[in-house]
Amino acid sequence: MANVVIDIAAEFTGNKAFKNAQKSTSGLEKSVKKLGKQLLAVYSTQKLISFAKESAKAFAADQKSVNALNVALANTGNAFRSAEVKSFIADLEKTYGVIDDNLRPAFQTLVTATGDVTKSEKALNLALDIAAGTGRDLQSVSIALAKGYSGQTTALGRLGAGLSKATLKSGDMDKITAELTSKFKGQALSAAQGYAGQMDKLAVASENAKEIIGKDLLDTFSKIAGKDGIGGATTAMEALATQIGNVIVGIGVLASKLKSIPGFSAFITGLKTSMEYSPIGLLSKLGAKSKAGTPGLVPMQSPAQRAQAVKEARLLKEKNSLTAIDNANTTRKLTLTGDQLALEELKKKFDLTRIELNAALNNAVDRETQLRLLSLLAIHDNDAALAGKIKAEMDAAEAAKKLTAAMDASLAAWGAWQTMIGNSMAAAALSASQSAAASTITSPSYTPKPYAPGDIPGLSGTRGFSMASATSPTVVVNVSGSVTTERDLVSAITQGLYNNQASGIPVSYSTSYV
Amino acid sequence: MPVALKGVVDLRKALKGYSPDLAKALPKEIGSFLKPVVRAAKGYVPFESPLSGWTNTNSKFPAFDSKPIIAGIGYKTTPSKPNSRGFRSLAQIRNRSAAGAIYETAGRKNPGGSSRSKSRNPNAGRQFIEALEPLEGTGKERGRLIYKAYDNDRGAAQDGVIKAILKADKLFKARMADF
Repeated sequence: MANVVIDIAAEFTGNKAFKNAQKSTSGLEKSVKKLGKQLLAVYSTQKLISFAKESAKAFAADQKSVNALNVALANTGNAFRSAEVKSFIADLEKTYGVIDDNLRPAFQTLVTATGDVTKSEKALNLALDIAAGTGRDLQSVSIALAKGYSGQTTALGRLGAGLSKATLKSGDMDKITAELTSKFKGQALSAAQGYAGQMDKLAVASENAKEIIGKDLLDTFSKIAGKDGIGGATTAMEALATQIGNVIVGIGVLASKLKSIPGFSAFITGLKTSMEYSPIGLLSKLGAKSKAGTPGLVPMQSPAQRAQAVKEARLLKEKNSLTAIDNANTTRKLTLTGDQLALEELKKKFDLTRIELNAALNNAVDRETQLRLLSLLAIHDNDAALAGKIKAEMDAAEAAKKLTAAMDASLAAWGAWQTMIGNSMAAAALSASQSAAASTITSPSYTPKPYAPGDIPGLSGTRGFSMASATSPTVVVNVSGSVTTERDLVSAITQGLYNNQASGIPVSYSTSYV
Repeated sequence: MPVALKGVVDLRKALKGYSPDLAKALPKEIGSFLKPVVRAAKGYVPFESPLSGWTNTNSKFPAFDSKPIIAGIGYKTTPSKPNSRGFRSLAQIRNRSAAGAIYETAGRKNPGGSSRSKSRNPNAGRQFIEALEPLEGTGKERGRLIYKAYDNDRGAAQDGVIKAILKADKLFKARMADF
C-alpha cells in the first residue's frame, strides 16, 4: 500500500543498533566458546596443580590432628593405645561418614578430660549420637561431655538433650550418660544410612583420597627435594603436575580418538594385564610396598616422660573420682533435705494445735481475731517471717484505731463548742427581753438544745441554729426606748453592735447589749 | 525533517499508567495542530482527474478518484514501529491512497519522466507530470497535497506538536512532584 508520510517528530530507540549489538554479542559468544575449547587443556593442567596442592594441604591438616591426638594420648599415659584409637576412629569414620579431622579433636577433648581411652570411646560414640540427634556439631557436644566428666554439667544442660535438672545436679556421669544413651541411641547410624549420610561418606572418601595422594606427593617430593625439603619441592611439584596434566590431557585426546576403533575395550583389558608386569606396573607395586612399610607416626617417649604421664593420668583419675564422690554427697544431702521437708509437712497436717487454730481462723469474722490467731500459728510454727508480717498488720490496725478515737474526740469538742455558742445567743436574747421596759413585741421563743457534731449554727437545717426558721416557742424581748416594730428591734440591736465595734469593745454574745 | 525528541515514548507510557487524562489529552492536542494541515491538503485534491485517461478503472494503474484520495489523507499521533535506522515516528501526516500518492509525488525524482517507461509514447511521463499541479516544498519534501500543505503551514504544526509534548511532560512532572 502506498503511503506517503511526513514525520513531524521522531524518537531514536535504536532498534537496528540493538540488533547489530546482538549479532556482535552472539559472534563474540561463539568466539569465546572456541577460545574456551582451546583453553580447556591449559585449565586442566591448572586444576591438577590445584588438586595436588589441596591434597598436600589435606594431608598436612590430617597429620596435624593425628599428632595432636597422639600427644594427648601420651600425656594421659595412653600412648601405647594409639594404634587402637587410630583403628577406632577409622571405623567410626567409615560407619558414620564423619571425617576423621572432626573425630580426632573430639576424641582428644574427651580423653584429656577422662584420661581413659575406653571411657572416651564410649563418650565419642555417645557424642556422635547426640550430635546427630540434636543437630549440633560434634566438637561442641564432645566439649560438653568432657566438661561433664570434669564436674561441670551446665554445658550438658544446654545441649537441648532434655536432661532432668535432678540428673544434671547430681553430676553423676554414669547416670547422665545412661539417660543420654537412652534418648539418642542409634541416631548417628540412622543419619548415616540416609541420603545425607551417604553423601557424607562420599565426602569422607574424597577427603581420604586427597589425604592419601597428598601424603604420597609430600613423601615423594621430600625425597626429590633432598636437603631443600618441602619448600624447595613446591616448584618441582608444580612443574611435575604440569607435565602430568599435559600427559593426562594427551591421554584424554588419545582415548577419545581410540574409542571409535572397534575392539578397543578388549585391547584395554589386555593392556591392564600387561601393565601389571610392565616397568610402570612394577614401579607402582614398589611404591605400594614402600608405603606399607612406612612406620606409624606414634611419638616416642622416654621412660621418664612415660612415668610422668602415667603419674599425671593417675592424678587426673583420682581427681575425677573425688569430684564424683563430692557430687554424690551433694546429691545425698539434697535428697535428705527434701525428705525432711516432706516429713515436716506431714507432721503439720496431724498437729492438733494447728488444726484447732486453723479451725478458729476459718470461723473468725473480724480481722483482729484473725490476726491474733495467725500470730498464734506463727508462734506455734516458729515462723518468724509470718510473725513479722502479722505484727506489722496489727500495728497498722492499732494506729488506725487511735486515729479514729482522736477524730471522734475532735468532733465531740466541735459539738460542744457549737452548743456553747447556741446557749450564749439564747442567753443574750433572754437578757435583752428581761431588760425591756415599755414596748413588748412577740418574738419567736427559742429553746436551746445540744448540737451534734457537724451542726453549723446560723445555717438552716434540721438541727442547725437558725433564728429565721425558729417559729416556736415564743421569746419575749423587752427593749428600753421606743421600739414599735420588730424591724426597729433588729436595727436597734445592729446599731448597738456597730457602736461597740466603733468604741473598740469586742463583739461577743456575752458582752453585747442594747 | 522531523525533529528528534528523546523519552517521548516512555512519557506516553508513563502518562497511560499514571495520568490517563493527560494521556488522552496529548493526542487530541497534537491533532489540533495537525488538523489544519490535513484540511488544507484535502483541499488541494482536484475534484476531477487532471488527465482524462486516468479515470480508467480497468487498468492496473490506480485510477484517480478524489473521494478515496481525500479519505486517505489524515494524521497519526501514536508512536510507530522503529524504522530501519531505529527511529520511531511520534506524529505523522499521511497520504495513504495509491492514486493520492501518485498525485502527491509524481515528477519528484524524474521531472521529465522515467527512462524505464514502457509506454509507446516516449513523452508520456513528462506529459503526465506537466498535466499535474507543480510540486511545492524543498528537496525530497516536495509534493502536491500533504507536502504542499505542510510547506504552506511554515512549521506551525511542528512547533505545536513539540509544544504539546513538552507541555504534557511538564504537567506530568508537576503532578509527580505533588504526588
